[in-house]
Amino acid sequence: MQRLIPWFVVLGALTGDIFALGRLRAEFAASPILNSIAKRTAQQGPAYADANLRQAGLNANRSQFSPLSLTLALARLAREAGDAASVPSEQVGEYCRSLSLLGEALVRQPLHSGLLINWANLRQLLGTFDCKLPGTVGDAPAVLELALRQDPTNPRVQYNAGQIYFWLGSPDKAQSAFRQALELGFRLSPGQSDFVLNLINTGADIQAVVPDRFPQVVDWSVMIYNSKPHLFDSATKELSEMQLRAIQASREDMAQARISGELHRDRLLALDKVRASTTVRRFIDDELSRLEAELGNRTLVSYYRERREYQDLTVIPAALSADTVPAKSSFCSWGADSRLALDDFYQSIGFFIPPGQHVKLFEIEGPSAADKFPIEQVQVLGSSNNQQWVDIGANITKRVVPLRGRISLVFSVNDPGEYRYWKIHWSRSARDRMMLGDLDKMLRVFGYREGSK
Amino acid sequence: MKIGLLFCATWIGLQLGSTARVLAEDPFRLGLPQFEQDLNLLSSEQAPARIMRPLITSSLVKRGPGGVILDLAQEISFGSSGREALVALRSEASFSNHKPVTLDDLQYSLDRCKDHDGMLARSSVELSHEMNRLVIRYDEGSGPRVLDDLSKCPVVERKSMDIFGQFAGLGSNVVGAGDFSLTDFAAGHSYRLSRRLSRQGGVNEIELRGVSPEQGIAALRVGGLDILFVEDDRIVSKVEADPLLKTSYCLGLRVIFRRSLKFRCDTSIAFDELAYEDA
Repeated sequence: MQRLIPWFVVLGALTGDIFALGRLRAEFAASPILNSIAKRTAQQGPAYADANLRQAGLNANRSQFSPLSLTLALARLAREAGDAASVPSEQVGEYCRSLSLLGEALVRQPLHSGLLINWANLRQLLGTFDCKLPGTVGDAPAVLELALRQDPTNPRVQYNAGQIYFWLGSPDKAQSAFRQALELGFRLSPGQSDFVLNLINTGADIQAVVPDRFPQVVDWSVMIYNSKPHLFDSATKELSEMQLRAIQASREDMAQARISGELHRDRLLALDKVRASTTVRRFIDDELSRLEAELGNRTLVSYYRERREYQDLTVIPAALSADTVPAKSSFCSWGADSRLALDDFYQSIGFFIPPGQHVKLFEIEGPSAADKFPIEQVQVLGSSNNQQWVDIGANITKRVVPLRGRISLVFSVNDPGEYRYWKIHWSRSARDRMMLGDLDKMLRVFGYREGSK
Repeated sequence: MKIGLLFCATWIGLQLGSTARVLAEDPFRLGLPQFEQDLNLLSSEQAPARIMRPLITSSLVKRGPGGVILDLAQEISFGSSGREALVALRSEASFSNHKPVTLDDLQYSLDRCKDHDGMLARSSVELSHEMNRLVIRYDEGSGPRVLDDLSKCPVVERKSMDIFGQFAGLGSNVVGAGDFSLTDFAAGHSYRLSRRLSRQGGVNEIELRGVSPEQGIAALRVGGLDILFVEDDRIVSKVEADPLLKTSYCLGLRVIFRRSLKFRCDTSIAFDELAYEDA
């Protein structure tokens, strides 16, 4: 029965806008692809159109459906029809129809930033193509500038402007617009993040796009670390400067009572996971020891002060499960980012340290409900060949440091010796699994490099 | 009576099973002459390294029975000048530590082969971010030589290799993109490799052991070894008349194995084809 209902009646009924019926009929009749969308609506029922209209950004409350939102919806549908079209002439035709609808709406609301930005986007997409439809002639960059002037604090407009600048071949302006959008707190979808991330290929790009403030600095440091590890390593200077500026801004916020000390501490702990350099980590350690001193937490103060003295060392981690003969077994799977628990059936965690670096302190961090951990059950072994291991526990001071909702097992090395391979071994069969985490994040090694302070 | 029937059924089952023993349950064991304590898996020309290298690492192309085939490369296109090759990487290629193989790793690996192993002579390797390709430029007419070198050049993870430094390749210090990963070793004695994505019907575990020829032949007879590599031809002549054992050549060495083993070795051992064919 529903198949017999004309599509425009369905749409018209959905919108509740009698005036829209005639307009819809004319709009859809001229467009084969929109016509097919409408036919599918008629076949699949109002829910299909409803979903499409919702997607098109229409107000769910149909009684409040305005001519402007109807035009925007039609423009959006025409744009989507253009995206879906496989025949180039149909695609261009749909884009032109969408552009024309936006142009007509702009006649009624010439300073509407959303209309302006969408019109500019479609216009630059169509290049110099003459649509021969009303409202389709104009200068995309000028319209874009107008949109930005009208609504400079609208993050969505800034983000869209960034995209348009990119397609217009102005990467510098694109980066600036994206930075504005991020500063204004625009939450990017995964696809949008990838788009912006693709524009970041150097340290200068990082500084141009990523705001040096929390939480953006942490979010983007994580994204760059995960998606572009080589860039994270090569842009240390720019990332460090950005992170340091963010810490200083957060400290200033705390000093001015705009944020609490707790929030400042949480920000520092979050950044500590993706700090770009030893300089940043030492800055964090200084800041955290100062905060903990104010709270009278001596254990943490001494931990941060000790750690502050050392450099971050570059190691390759490895793990070995069910390591029942730790004095003879060897690590093989280097750098595998596995999820494991230290306190699990004779588990071993280890690392290779390159020549010229000397271990003075290492730590394993994990979640723990309790502040206590049987650290005496953790054995530390060293080896020069990954084959014969020596228990070096007598040379190590072990302690448990409680952090916020987590604990850190901290091992201070009195004499690092000449060991190339290090093993931290849970010498029990008990599967407590309190120290659970991703290997490359839970293990951190500090010390000194020959030839540097 | 029932026990007798059960025994017969079990015996028949075992016999049927033994006619096509597939090498999936146990490690496939190779016996080799005692090898070096500090064997370098990336650069040594010793047999254990030459056997393991193509298993734990991959190269852009590899040599197969029918010629050169793509391995980590998705596509290699040669410029009309005859002096340039553009290489695109397989997008799903990953190292044994699960990290993706990048063009940066590729450039590092090819440069490493140039510097350390004298490969890709009179060639240059550049990265083109715009094209998302690696550009290899070489002297006119040396294209076939470049392909041959690419098939021998193991692709390794740059970050790990930088950290291992002078220790790269020693012991287990390799992060490659081969089908197998190293899971255990005892320097100078044994190596164990496991297939990263195990499959049914193929070899999923391989063990290499250093043995004396006499021990090796005894182990072959009792099933403790599957293949024995020997350097001494006199040992081979001793087993040539043996009804149980067979000899052949592989990687420039003589090999001894049971006659029932389907074994092929061209530029490397065809581990995917290994199987015992009869009882």
